[in-house]
Amino acid sequence: MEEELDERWEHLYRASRDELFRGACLLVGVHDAEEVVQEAFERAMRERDFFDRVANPGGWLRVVAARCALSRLRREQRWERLQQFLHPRDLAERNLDLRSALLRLPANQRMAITLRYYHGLDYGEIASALRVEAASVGPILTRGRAALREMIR
Amino acid sequence: MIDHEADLTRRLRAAAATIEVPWTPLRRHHSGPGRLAAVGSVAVVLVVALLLGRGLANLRATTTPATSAPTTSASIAQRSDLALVPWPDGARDGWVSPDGQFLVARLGEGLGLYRVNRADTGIVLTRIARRGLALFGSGRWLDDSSGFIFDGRSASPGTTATLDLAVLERGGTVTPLATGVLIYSAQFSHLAPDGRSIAIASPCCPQRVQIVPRAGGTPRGVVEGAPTAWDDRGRLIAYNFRDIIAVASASAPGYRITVPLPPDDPGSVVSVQSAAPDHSAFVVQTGRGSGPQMMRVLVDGRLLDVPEGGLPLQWIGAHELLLYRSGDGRFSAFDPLSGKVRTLGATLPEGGTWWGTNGKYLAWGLRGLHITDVETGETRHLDLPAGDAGFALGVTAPGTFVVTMRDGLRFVDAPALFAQPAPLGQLRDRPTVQPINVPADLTLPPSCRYVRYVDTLSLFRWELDCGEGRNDPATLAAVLQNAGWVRCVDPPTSAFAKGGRELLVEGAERPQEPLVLTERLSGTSCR
Repeated sequence: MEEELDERWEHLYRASRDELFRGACLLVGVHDAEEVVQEAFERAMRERDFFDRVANPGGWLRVVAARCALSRLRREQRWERLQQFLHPRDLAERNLDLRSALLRLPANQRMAITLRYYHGLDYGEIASALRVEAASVGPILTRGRAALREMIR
Repeated sequence: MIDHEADLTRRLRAAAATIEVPWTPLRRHHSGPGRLAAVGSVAVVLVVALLLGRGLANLRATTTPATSAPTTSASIAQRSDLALVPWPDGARDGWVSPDGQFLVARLGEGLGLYRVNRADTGIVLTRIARRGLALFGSGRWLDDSSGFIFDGRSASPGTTATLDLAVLERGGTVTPLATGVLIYSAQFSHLAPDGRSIAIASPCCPQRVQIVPRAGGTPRGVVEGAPTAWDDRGRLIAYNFRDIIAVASASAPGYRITVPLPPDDPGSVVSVQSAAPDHSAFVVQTGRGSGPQMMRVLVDGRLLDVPEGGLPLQWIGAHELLLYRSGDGRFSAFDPLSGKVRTLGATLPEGGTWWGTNGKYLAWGLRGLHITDVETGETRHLDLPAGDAGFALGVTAPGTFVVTMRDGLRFVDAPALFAQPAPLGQLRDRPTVQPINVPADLTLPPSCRYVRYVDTLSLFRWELDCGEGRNDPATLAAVLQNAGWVRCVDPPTSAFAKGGRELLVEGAERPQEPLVLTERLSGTSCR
């Protein structure tokens, strides 16, 4: 029984790892991406009858991985705000590449941009992942795009 | 630059594609029914309690609050149909057939098949057979409850695991269906309405839809792609990443619809998630293989976005799509034929797992079980001794939930919990769903509902269902005449005219066919 379960998890892991890892890299950077992917799988494996009850395991993992990343981001950004308070630096950087620029966005914007334009989630799914109202997703994306435009100009 | 959303998508995907993905094995976690969650919860409670200086005696007195409270909740006493039916023969879990008559239980050494008998003293399980079958993960009952289809273990040539597909029949015999099929074929198999064939997908590549005789035999490849559903005229609906294909049956011609993908995304692949029960619309997933994907609705050859913020959950009625919108937390019903959206009474409960049954009831909860009428939001609460393992839910017809717990099964008759249960045939206020362009002064009889709408350059056409045997012009004649429409005398047809407009009412030739109402847009010949 355990062996059968393992085979299914292995299959899902091999099928979805690349996309989850790359999405996590966009959100939290390469150093934390591995932890995000593994944490998402750990949560999935805690779900009772996951394969019977989750119709779209890949979609489920995308949203949960994004939520794991958001938790990390919020912890890190609290630390960064403290660092910025202690050691002020110029945040208005220019000529960044897209990935670097993305990593400088506030957590909500970074996550909304990644979920929308990399994973292709719709507004409702993004709202669910961010735990905000669907009407808030559009403005978050607009602000995120504007900030990206500024940084990669 | 990123002035357009499509540019950002393209650039972000290109940037992500440059990220090297190192291979790290999946970490071993303790999978199982809530084991880690339960242990974690206990640990957190202990730590918090100790930090607060509370002793273990206080901990014992602590009660766990229920999950988010429903808006209208009424507890009911334990009912006899909530009585525990213990797992038989040391089983750990199992599957109840859709008709509620049979149980397949997973035993230590294979599967057990049982008859579910409802006696005066309660529900009794009678064993029919025990079989030493190696089940790969899971299986499920065929829709007609005629057998339990499952993937058996097979060889794994190369990296692709393939399985043997078989059916455990209600009499206890096993019918082999196919060998070396695609992984998880049992979960995604589709039984034909006549019960004589099962559609499955062949291993990649190219993936083909195969039809396997229900009685066993050689699979027959019919079209490249994957199966979605069968329609009620015996046609298999499949998709091949660009087209939706209905494979011709003995009684109906086939058709092919090329999904009109957005011009800015020509490389998209398509999968068809589901078909409306009346096959007037399909939920289509567009996107790239491992990249962004969007759910859209294909209706009358057009690809529509789901109303803002909506997640398509399932079809309800003939062609309404149950949506969840995270904005206000409510469910809504979207009719793609008319574009109408109705807000329903139920809200998605936070934190709890949930299931819908044909869009009528929602069951959710972690420690207690809540049954919600999706239309009204009315909720009933049932006490369940869930223990630390929680529970799983299944559905048997009509409207009965099967609660699967560590110690056994419980059957919950959802309609019986409500004073005015939601009708299982259709949602209550279906008549408020109106197709676009419908004559504003035409109020349908309560028994009639629109099932399809078509417009062309020269006419509008609506298909209506007024119930079997009532889809004839006389059903609408009185309604039209009351609204001021005058029957035409020349030509002598069931045509009605009013203010330069003309409606033609055509009755069904067969009982299951709809009533057709057509408005001619190019003048009238009616006198």
